[in-house]
Amino acid sequence: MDGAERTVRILLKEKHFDRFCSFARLIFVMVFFVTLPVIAQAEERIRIIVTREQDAQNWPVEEAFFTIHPEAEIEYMLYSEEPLNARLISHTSDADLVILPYNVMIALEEKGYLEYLDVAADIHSYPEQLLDLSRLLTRDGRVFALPVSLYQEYWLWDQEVGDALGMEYQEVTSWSWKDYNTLASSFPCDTDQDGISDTYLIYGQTVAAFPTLQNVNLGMLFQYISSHREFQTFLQEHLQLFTQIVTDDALLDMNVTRQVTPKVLLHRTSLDNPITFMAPDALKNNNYLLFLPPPSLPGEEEMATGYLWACGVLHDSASKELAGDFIRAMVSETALQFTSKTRYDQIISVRKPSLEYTDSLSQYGPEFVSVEGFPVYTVRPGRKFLTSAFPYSEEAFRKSQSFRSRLIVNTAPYGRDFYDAVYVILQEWLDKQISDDTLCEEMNYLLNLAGGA
Amino acid sequence: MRNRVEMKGRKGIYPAGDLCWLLPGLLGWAVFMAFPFGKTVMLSFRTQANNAPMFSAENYLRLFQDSYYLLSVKNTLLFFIPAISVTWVIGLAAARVLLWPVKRKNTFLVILLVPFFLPASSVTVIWKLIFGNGSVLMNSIRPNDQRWKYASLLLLYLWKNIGITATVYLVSMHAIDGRILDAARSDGASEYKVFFLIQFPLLRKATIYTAFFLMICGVRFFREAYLMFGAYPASNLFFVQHYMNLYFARLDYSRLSAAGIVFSAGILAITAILSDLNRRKEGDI
Amino acid sequence: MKNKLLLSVIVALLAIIICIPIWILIVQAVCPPEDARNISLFLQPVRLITTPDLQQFRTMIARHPDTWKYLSRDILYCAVSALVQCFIANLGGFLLAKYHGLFLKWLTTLYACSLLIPLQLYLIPAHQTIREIGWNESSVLMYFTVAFSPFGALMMRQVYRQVLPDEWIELFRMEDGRFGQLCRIVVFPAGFPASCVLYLISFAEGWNMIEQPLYLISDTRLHPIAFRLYNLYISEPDVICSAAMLALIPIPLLILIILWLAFRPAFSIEKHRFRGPYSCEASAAWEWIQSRD
Repeated sequence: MDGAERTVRILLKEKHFDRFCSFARLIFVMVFFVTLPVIAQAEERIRIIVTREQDAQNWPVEEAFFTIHPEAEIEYMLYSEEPLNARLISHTSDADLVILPYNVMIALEEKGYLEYLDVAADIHSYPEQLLDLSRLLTRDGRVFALPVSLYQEYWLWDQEVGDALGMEYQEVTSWSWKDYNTLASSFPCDTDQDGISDTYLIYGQTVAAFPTLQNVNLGMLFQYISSHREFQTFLQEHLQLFTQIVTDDALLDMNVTRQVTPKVLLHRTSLDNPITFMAPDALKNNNYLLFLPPPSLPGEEEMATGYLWACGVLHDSASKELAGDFIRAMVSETALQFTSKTRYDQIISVRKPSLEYTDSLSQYGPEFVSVEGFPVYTVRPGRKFLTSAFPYSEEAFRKSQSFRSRLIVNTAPYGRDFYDAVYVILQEWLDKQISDDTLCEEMNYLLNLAGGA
Repeated sequence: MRNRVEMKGRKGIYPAGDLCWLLPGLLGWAVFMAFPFGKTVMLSFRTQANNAPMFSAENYLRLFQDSYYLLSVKNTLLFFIPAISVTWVIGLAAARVLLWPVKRKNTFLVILLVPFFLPASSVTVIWKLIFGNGSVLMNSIRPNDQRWKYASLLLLYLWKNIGITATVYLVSMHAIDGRILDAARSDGASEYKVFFLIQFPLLRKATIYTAFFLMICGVRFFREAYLMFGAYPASNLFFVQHYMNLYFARLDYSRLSAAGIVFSAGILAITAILSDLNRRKEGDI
Repeated sequence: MKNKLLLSVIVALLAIIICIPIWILIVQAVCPPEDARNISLFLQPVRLITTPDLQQFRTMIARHPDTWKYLSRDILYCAVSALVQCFIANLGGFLLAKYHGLFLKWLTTLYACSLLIPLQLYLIPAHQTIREIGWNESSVLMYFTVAFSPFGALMMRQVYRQVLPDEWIELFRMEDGRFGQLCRIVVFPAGFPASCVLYLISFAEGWNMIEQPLYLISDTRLHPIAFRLYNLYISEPDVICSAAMLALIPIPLLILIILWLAFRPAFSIEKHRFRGPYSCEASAAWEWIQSRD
């Protein structure tokens, strides 16, 4: 028998390979079909979806909830936006509540993913004890979510610089971009008379990856696009003013290296609660930075752009009663009299909190651990916080809450991409690549797209 | 044993029992594609997540009244028809060149093929550096900006897909019997006539497959477009999948489904027409 | 001679044009991080040549020390899912190519149609189905769509129609050969080069995933490395080019390995392993059977 013949006979008579194939087939079928779902253990637990780690820190509300349910647990599940949407659409989120940015909340409400709070928590009208954001969080008089935290853009007046210029700080509740432009016309200043400008009005904004958008002031445009779905009005009524403001000599370029850094009179910020800079407390504390609201659009209501996070109950929640209790805890006296020392953005009551929690040993910060592949943070009762008196006066508190209630929020999905698209169009316009009419056309397209037209 | 096979004929060589080996692939396809798509079709007839009527064609009706959907369909056609056509022409030309005695043609073919396999996220980094809003190229050669963005995306599509097109054609050209072409040449036909009158008609099937493959690449090309320009591209680059993506962000899966199903139906119709044309032409031959 | 030279020059120029973008990325990846940051933000023009410096890579790995772990995990998952796809595609392709029946015709048509459907239309319901089975968020799930894609079956169907003569199958059936033996001795060796190409395509498809991690996985540690670049562009522009380079490297390496594997001479006969495209076993068997007659 030659080699080829031997080979063929051996190969044709070999049965081991066939047996292996049958066995592998059987194993495959077993693994694929016999996998059983894991049955969750029944216990008092509510699950809350969040998209930022800091949203898992709601100490006053959690403690108020634990007084009603001393054995319950609160489980925060951290999602990024797209997987969250996938979970919600496929009804596989396994959550009871959500604490999400406002633009996601209204999408949830529109598509029926949220339970109205009159059904879930017996809240039939917007709670009076909360900051008045009812225009954002109700539909046809029914409340679908309650505010959890909010940030807004606000400005600061540098008193030291003002004194050097001979300008006195005045408390204003509102001023317009026209007033800003008038003020900007007297900057930059040379206070020491050495021929070099040493004081500017405000730092210009710098947008990374857009070479033309360095040292610009875009606040006026962003205010407009946060509250409008068309650009025609801006073109007709505000564009001329915007053209003067957007690139102005009064703006200080923060990227330029100088031997001596010039001073600026105004600072733009959007962090936390402006109560720290509110008179009379700021003056009393000898704080040389004082609160100033951002200018508003001429002829329009004074509003300040910012971000809002709200909490709602999911329609397919498995623990609706517990979820309702959590919502009620948000408006309870127990919760509203407290705040967290590090989270003034969560102060949503109209009444000043009397105490604040501190966590000096940093033992209660959100610490997410991976459970079945995604980050989870579990809060259990029995925490021991230190408390101290809320350090700000009634007047400062009232002023800050009054300002914070004038919040406007941009509801465009994919916020980062939306603003990138705005920057692209702006850059082309500033480079004179497109005319004012084309600017209007492009912005209309973008605003309508983002607004869901 | 041989007699048994002869009696059974083709059924003996290809017994039906062997079809059970289709099961793994078929089950996987069913679980991950077919059943989910069926669910999607059902969802496209709902308007709300809860308390909604079971069947409503409202999503489809609103779709055709939505100017943004119509814009996205127009943009998709205006981009992919030229993109596929130019890719096809250049791929065919490259394959034709590679048939000639060229040095290192295998190396060239591998170089042509490499872009097809590269990750979209790496490729868009390169493309943004070269063609991004603030690049030197963009700032020095700036026609109307939208046309420039269109051109940069088109170049990306060409760069990625020319290699695979050329490969498909090269394989098909090798399969043509060289004696036919030699006979034509010996009868005095020029290279031009040999290619257009003999070779090209014989490549009809390859052309259909290439068009089909390039359409699949077009459906996948949303990744590159999304990574380059984000969720809000310029108005001439707003494709159907951008529209679907925005409705995904709005949690409106029903509208997303309706948009995608209409889009897919359109592509399938085009594919069916091309296949039918091919079958008829083969019948004529 | 002149024409040959001209053609070679044209081909060389085209190859250079194709390679320019990759060259640009390599150059930016070996720039110092500060310069890379400025280039990414368009504060400096793109460089075409530079003194190589691996500081960017060192900075990236220092910031993301788990890079190698995730890279090897991604390579493993892609390799395994591509292998599964090849196995399933070879079986499915052979059956669709050689076996006849209305069911198979319809199945081929459905497979082809499903490839033209955008991923968003079936990804989320598929995820729902998987959750109902009981599998939760896992990076393995993303690779199932690659492993069970019908593209491979359709591709191998075309291949087997061309490269697999019916006579070989008849030979084995006449000798009472079973399906497993048929696949091992005849089918897989005949489709080996195409399988290698399919492996490469499937690996690249798994490596290049964007939609699956974007829509299904919220834990960023489970995201494929190629997908993480999407977020790095804004947050870390000084190392984005080196990260892009790192995500790119496995693909050309795999292409070289595949080319070597697909076109090298066959294994030894005496070890009874299945062979490459120049299979001596099967053709030797055919000659033996013919000589018997």
